[in-house]
Amino acid sequence: MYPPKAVDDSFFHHNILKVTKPARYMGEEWNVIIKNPVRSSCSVVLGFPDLYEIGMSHLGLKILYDILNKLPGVRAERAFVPWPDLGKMMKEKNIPLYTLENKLPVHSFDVVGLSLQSEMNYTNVLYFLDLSGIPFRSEDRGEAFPLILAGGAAVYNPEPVSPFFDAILLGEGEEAMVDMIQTISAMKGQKKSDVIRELASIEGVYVPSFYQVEYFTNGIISKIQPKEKQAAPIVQKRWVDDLDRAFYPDKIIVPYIAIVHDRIPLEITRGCTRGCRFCQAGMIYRPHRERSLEKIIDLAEKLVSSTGYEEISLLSLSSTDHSQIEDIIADLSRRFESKKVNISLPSLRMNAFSVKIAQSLQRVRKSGLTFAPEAGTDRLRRIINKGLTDQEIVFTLEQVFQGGWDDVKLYFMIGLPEEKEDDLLGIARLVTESLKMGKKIVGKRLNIHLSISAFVPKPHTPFQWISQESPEVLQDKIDRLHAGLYKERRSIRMNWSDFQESRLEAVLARGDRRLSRVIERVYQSGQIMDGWREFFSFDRWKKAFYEEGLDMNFYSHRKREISEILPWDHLSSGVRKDYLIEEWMKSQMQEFTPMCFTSEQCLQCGVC
Amino acid sequence: MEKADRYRYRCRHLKLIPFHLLSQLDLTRFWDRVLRRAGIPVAFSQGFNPRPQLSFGPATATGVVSRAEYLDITLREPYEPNQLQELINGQIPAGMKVVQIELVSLEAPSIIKALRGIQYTYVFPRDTDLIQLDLEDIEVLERTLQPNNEFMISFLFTGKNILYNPFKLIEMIPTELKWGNPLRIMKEECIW
Repeated sequence: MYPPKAVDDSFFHHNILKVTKPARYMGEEWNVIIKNPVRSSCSVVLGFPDLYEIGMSHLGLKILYDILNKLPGVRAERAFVPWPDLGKMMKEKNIPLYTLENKLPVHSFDVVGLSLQSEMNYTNVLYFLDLSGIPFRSEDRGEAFPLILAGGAAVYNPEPVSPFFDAILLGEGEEAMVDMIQTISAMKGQKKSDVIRELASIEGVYVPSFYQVEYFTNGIISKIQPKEKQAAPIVQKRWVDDLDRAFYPDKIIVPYIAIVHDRIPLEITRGCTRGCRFCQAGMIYRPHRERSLEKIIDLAEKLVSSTGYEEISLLSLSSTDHSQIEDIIADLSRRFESKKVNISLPSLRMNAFSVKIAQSLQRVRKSGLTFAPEAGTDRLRRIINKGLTDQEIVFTLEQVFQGGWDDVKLYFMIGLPEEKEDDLLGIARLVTESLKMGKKIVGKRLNIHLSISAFVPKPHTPFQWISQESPEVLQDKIDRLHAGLYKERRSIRMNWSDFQESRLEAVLARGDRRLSRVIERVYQSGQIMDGWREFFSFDRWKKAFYEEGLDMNFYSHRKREISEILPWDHLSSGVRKDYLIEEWMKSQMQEFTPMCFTSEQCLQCGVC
Repeated sequence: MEKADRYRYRCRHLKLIPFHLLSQLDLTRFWDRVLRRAGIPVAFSQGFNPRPQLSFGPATATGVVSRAEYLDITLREPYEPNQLQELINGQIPAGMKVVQIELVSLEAPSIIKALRGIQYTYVFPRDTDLIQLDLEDIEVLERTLQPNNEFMISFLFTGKNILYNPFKLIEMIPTELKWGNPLRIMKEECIW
């Protein structure tokens, strides 16, 4: 017997017309895979705790959707949380969260795998489970409910949400997710606790309930200890060693509505070893791997003809680090010219080579260029290992303006460790100097867009021990930066992050298990969609912390001792903790660490 | 077929549930991608940001199911209409299927200019007391009670002010008639 569909035609004729953007909830996109529920031996929901437009933009979901549906007997379907207007209606009308493929209730599946990409999605994890009618805590879910799994960038410290999951995959899913689903499929009908035990023995799988966490009276962790023999003392992340042999879809779903990244994502490299000390992606996605030119062209051909997309984005953490980037762009541009398919790059390093690359991309010319100097002085850029000087920045911008661009976006961070007044003023100096130089080349129409974000110390980085600056201090810095750029205000657009949001991000990013109670409490008080400014409420969070007797400052504004046991010490990205300590020390000496595949010898970061 | 560098085809297609949720902007993206998938050499506009030459009929209100959507596609090469229809239908879901294609002259008036009326069918939940409705530019064509007690009424809209928004009719029905909201609205035919 299979459960009836969660929604029927009358839902699509009536209720759904009353909500914003109803096409988010329809499914039936091109390349969707709809399998017969009666014939599948293992059913999986690939869930994303955010809107359709966000979830559908995520590459990992596209990869896993295709991989899992290629496994015999496995049926993978998608589910996203609705905008609150529909969420409210679903609760009132008792409509459970449903999958887009067969419109079946999420709770009727064998497995739900949630993608955790950001701390700001944590309340949405509960929103997802609540709309599905699934109890939040692993310990409260009996045999009748699906296994709830998680994966994604945020799981390198999943502790604040770890009690909600039965098992969590650390690292890349191409091989590990197949191992997990095959194990679950083979053990179908057996007791859930036995299945979880078996999952724990797969490399990269973390079962939170198998670990005991103890605290000193001051709240610092005294011990993290495995309770079961299947639980490894330190769980190591999974990664694929050869991108050419790793699975990559040649068909992806083409949504009808505009999504955030509405184009073909073609991953050309994975991992980055530039070693910026603030950057979590640069640590957790190591090592650097390349997809070959031949494979990239083959995939591009197949993806364009299967999707009809008008743009290919060459994904990587640092595009110009691909050894054949020029050949890739030249070939793809030529190949797809008549079909009017554009080639784009997400971000560029600040050097002459990047400008040359950008010039060969028609699309980028139109939309303006984006660079990330990150800090205002050479000194601070040495501290964060950005490997970039004022001179190089100005020189690159000069070439950009000479190349005909008159609209440039620059990313900076404030609140970086060791930041001084001069570093802040350095941002203003750099921008003023660049404007002066640029106006001589392109004239008055020159526009610089400044995007300022607050530094958030992240786990598994050399800055994981430091204290974040308070929202008040950060706001004051923004005000001073504004004042420093007052004369240039006509040529500058400036926006900055919400510092209370950054503070919450810092709290959750380095939080421990006790925060799960706070997340439950804040959800019960009505908080969802923290990533959306119209819904984020710092006051609700403050209240929830207060009611749980926990202090946000303990998590965000406290310098940890090197000897302290961190909530994620039993989870490894492959990079040694000692290496992070060395990097932290080197940062204090302003010492540069080169990229590993250009330096003479291995940096011994530990991942390979 | 005489040689030219542009060939214009008028396509009629369906927009069945759940595609009735797509907006006009969604359709523009949709057709661009369909034609690229089908490998059909669509003509592009000149200029800085070339756009495929697609010309749509009046946008159908979101939520209205349609059996009479029209668009003109301009191509760089000639095709037999049947062959073109087959190529396109190989790349779109059944609920959006093209049901008719014809070659039209490049000089022919646009869909919007040529259109004189639209026939809509409304399905109401119960037999309704249809005393004479006297609505300007709206003609009642047909009334039928379905075996399941659903009540179907077909209207011909001709007035430009209401042509494109069949939801306006609901507001025009006097509330004392108690028709309730329609279960479905279908766009059936375009009258040229």
